[in-house]
Amino acid sequence: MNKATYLELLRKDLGVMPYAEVQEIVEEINNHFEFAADKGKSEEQIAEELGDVHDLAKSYINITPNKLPVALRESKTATPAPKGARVFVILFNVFVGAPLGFLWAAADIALIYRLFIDITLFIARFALFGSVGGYLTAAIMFQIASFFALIVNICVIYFGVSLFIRCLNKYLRWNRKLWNKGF
Amino acid sequence: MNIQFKKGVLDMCVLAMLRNGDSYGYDIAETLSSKILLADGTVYPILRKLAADGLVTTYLQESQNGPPRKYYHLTDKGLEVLNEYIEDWNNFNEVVKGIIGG
Repeated sequence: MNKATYLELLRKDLGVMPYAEVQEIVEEINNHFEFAADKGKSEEQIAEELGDVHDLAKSYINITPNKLPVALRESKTATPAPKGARVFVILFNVFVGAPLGFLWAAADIALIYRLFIDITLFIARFALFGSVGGYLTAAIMFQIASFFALIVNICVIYFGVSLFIRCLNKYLRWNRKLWNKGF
Repeated sequence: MNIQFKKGVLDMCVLAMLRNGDSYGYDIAETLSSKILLADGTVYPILRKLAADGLVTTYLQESQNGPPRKYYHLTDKGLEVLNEYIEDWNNFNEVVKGIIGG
């Protein structure tokens, strides 16, 4: 089970409790995932080590409910909004993040566009086989070479796009963290 | 080991851990679950209950990397309850040993 599923099930099971409490509990378990992930554990492994999600929810519900809000309100401390970090996030996005992301996406799209043209040409060249005469061997070799070039292109595009998605994901997470919690 | 045995003493163990100094949820969960062989999640509801009962208080501390850490601090009332627990536990232990012949 991954983190999202685990937290979603937990949230669902805790539905009988007040919303604010559910938020706090889910956040604490979410933090557990993050701490454990920093130690190099996979989400699945962390979820398994946390134990059955329904049991966990039941343990929370079994706590005497009416005393909880007061005690937790007293012990809560506020964290100031990270103004500097937010300005940094905006500037960084405008001058670095957005241009780089745009360039990368444009490069990926250009490569894909080019690939379609190459595939079309590759297929079209078969139609010319009848007219190459004595150069048939050369034409076949050329087609084989083109075929491998196409494969290489597809691999490059695959890695380019998947790396882009992964980097975008990490970048967004990094932005959100800075935005909410500061440096 | 019998899970009911573990659950019975877990409150006491959490309080005892906090007697040595403040600690945050993940640290407590990891230390206890590795020593007592429990699911990591077991500790969190207990910490919440102890906070509700006023035996521990919490405060947030920003960390260099990762989410802010929610630290738990043993209150005077918590220490009192812990000492009671330990005394009960020792007495109970003696009685049980007498019965089972340990």
